[in-house]
Amino acid sequence: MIDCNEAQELLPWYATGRLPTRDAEDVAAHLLSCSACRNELADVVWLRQAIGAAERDNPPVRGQVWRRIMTSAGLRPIADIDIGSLLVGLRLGVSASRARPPVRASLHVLGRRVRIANPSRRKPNSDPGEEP
Amino acid sequence: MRSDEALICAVARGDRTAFHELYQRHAERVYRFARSLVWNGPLAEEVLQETMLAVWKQAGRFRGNSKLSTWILGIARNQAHALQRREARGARTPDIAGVEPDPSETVEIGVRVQRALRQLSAEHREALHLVFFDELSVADAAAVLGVPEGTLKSRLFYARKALSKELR
Repeated sequence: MIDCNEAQELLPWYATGRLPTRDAEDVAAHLLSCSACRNELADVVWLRQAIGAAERDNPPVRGQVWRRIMTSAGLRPIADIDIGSLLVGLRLGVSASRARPPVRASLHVLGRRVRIANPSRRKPNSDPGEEP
Repeated sequence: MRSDEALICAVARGDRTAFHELYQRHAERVYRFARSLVWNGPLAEEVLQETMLAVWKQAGRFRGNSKLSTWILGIARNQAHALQRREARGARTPDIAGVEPDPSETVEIGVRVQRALRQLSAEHREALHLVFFDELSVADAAAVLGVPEGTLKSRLFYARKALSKELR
């Protein structure tokens, strides 16, 4: 059987349902016989709701943060140049970024991409786009 | 949907799509935790940015000894403290836009609690946030804060008392 001090230290996790079963059973057994701790539990539940309300009032993270991360990590192209011809289905693309290698080029023939230079040690997959 | 573990392995290999997915999954949580520490929206965004850059660079160091979210929140905590130290030394200029009241702060209970939280120490605020808002277990919250479980329990007990006192 746990005492009031032990029970009151565990009440926040009891209120959020994050206690291991054995601890939760100990707290529940203590609450049955202790009105002071039942009152304390009511305070904890109220506090949890109030903190949730306060947190939800904060605005969400802005979309531009992802762009800044991509730029800082050198994953966002600084410039893109496309040189091509629709008539023969040929397109040469050159992009520069702060990542290594700083310049990448690719060739499209009849819509099919043929990478011609990307000697990166890390081989990134497709670009996820700018905005989350 | 890929697991957190699969995502971080892909990020360690330089997979940008996985990095984006990881960001979408964890950004809001990291941002809100950072905000509870620094009380400034733009500064919290800087914490998020530095945290995700650290995740991109250090993904290969994640050993899976804890949940990925616990590891990321731990990085965010370190980044928040580092930014605050730089700001205290005058190495960076505080962004005053972040200390303006949010237009959304119109719900009375939310405003009252935010004012009360602001009076608490950062140690008390982060413990309250991780347990009551993020609903982390004792072990996970203690791991993020880098303290023994007993320390977290007593810290949270005193944080609750301090917040109740401010709200009276």
